[in-house]
Amino acid sequence: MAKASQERWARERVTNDTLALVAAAREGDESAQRRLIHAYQERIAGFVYTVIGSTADIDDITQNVLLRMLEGLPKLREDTLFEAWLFRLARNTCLSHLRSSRWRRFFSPLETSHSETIAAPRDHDPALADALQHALRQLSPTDRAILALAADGRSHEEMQQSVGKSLAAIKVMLHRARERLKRHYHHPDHA
Amino acid sequence: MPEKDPWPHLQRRAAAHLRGDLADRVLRRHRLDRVGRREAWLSLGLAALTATAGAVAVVIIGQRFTAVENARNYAAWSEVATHTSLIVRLP
Repeated sequence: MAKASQERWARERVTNDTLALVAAAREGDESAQRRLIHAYQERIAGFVYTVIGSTADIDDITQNVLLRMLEGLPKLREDTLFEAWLFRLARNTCLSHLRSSRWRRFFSPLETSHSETIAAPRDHDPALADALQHALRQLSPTDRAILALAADGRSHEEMQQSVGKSLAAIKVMLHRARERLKRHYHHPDHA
Repeated sequence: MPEKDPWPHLQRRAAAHLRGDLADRVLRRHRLDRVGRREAWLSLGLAALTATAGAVAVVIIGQRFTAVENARNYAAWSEVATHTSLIVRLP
């Protein structure tokens, strides 16, 4: 009981911290903007990787999303919807990147995308990440986006804000995306 | 044994691909964009001001020319009128 109330308190504290940061960042406080970027960059990178499925452009797309975040902050109507709004920006940026890269591939089919090899973090299991990445590749970008939102711990209501569909549609989309992912995901230990 | 959740591993891989100076780059570009936008508005304002001043100058010069032309026409007309009245008065 005490633990649950402590967790709720911690969540509210984080939210209040975020709200304060958003308000300060909107006013042009550069240190608040920097802290906001640090707070969200990894989650946005994870989202971007899940949707675009390649490591080559993670840094560039994450940079674009965060830049659009700073530019759009003055237009954000409700600060409590900040995270849903940010993930909507990320989703739209990823989908437009996929659209434009399809055209790029069409006009220059021989162009190869290169990805940097980066040393894996210590607690990273490449086999698990590969298996999930392989399964995600079989899904559509919209399925990947909704799964990425769910993996980030977004509620159905927040997903509704980010995707712009009804709650019922979100539940159906998520259920179907999970079913498709289950069909394609093979745990490396079972392979 | 329960299966390990693969999502955190995917997210850690993604995070490993971010370069360390991401925040600096975003802030620098944001600053540049803001300055660029301000300069673009300034140039637009200056261009509008120049165009308005040019239009006003054209109207004023045009009016001056018209006034001079009108005066010249009036002088010519009155000269003709004087001559005409002289001819009419001839016996």
